[in-house]
Order: sequence, then C-alpha cells, then structure tokens
Amino acid sequence: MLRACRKLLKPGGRLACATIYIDPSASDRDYRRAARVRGPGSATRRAMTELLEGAGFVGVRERDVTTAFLRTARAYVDTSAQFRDELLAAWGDELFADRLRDRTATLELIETGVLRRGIFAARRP
Amino acid sequence: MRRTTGEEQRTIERFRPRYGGALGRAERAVERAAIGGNVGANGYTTVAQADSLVRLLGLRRGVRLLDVGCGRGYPGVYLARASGCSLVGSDLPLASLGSALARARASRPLARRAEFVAASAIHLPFRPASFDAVVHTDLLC
Repeated sequence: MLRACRKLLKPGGRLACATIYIDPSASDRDYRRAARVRGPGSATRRAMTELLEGAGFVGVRERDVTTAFLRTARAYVDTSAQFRDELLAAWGDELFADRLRDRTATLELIETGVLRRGIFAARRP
Repeated sequence: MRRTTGEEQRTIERFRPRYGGALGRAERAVERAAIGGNVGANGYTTVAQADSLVRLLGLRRGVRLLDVGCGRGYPGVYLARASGCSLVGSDLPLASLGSALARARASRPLARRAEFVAASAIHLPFRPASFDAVVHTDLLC
C-alpha cells in the first residue's frame, strides 16, 4: 500500500500516516497477543521507518504520540462505561461488548508498553 | 469494473458496524472525550494531531490531498476545511463514504472541492503522480 501511495504522489509530494505498531522489543507472547487484538496489519516486526524507506520514500521522520494514544484509549473505555446504557440501546449488546472488549484490550496493551503509536512523515523524491 | 476480492469483502464486513446511522448523544460525548471534537473519528487521531497534519503535509489552497481509508471523513474533511485544500477520500464501506460525503456537503465551499471513491487501499484507481499529499490514519499497512 505504501508503494501505491508513493506512485500517486507527485515528485516532492508528502505522505503522513498515523500508525499503531507493536513495540519492537515486545516478547513473542505479547507480539501474538497484540496481533490478535489489533489485526494482522499491525503484526510486523519491521519498523515503519524501514517500511517507508523500502517503499521509496525519503526524509522519513517520526513523532511518537504514544502518550496521547494512552489518553485517548483510556477516554474511550471510561466514557463508554459512563454512557453504557445509551450505547447499549444504540449499538445492541453484541456490538457494545465487541467494541468495549477491543478498546479495553488496546488500553491494556498500551499500559504494558506493547502497543505504541507514531505519526510518520515522508516525501517522494 | 473490478470485482471485490475476498479480503476486501472481509474488510467491509469488519468495519460495517462502525459506520451505522447518525451518531447519538452518547456517541458524540465519547468522541469528544477521546478525540477532542465531533469530527467523525473512529480511531485514535486527536483533533490536535489532525492540526499537526496540516503543517506536516503543507496543506493549503490549491493542494490536492488523498485520504486513504477516509472512514466517515476524518481526518480528510477536517483537513480540507482547515486548510482550503481539495480532497479525494477513498474507502471500501459505502456507508462510510455516504457519511463522509454528508460531512463535506455540510460546508458549501468544501462540497465543491471534495470527492469520494469506493476503493481498497491496495488498488487505488488514480493516475500516477496526481496528488500533492497523501494521508492515512490508523490504517493497516
């Protein structure tokens, strides 16, 4: 997908992507746990910087936004509990349970240092 | 017209529940607390981070931006409104594109410079070198 994005950009054009990724130092067990929660796309051992450069981008920079990621994930979980009855009525039991389970698992993975989030910027040469 | 692959269909099904009808009071309250505004967000990109994307991408009037996996129009519609750039948003679930279009049409000047295309992130149906900037947020790479 990154290669496709590079081709669509004019020379000198800019790419920015905000990406959740598994900390490269995560244990095999944590890696599998995070991959189950976040889906297969986040299950790469390769750093995003490496992926972007491999796709032909230059000037790759990362701003780590894991602290804000944690704050946002916690707000999702806390306010979902706060508005539980209204959300249950809007989404139904199954969807509410799925979303809360996903958000709670994501929060736990951030709190334990397994998941991180970065905003990456790069340009097409 | 290219047929949807099995993988694309699974993606559509996975995200279908996230793009239901209009948001209620509780959903808007959750989004405000988590993201910092009611902007059509589903993921983890805060409004403050979207503001930083305007600068990172050099967005301004005359710039053509592609938002890959635009969901309900965030951050693409927000970025186009904030910067004056033109926008193409792409995603697979049609329900999400309908919401994104409605968000863009809510602002008359933006409605004329925003369009949306049903396409997967792998098979983007655009000419090479046709965008000044590309953004994607919380999309699987």
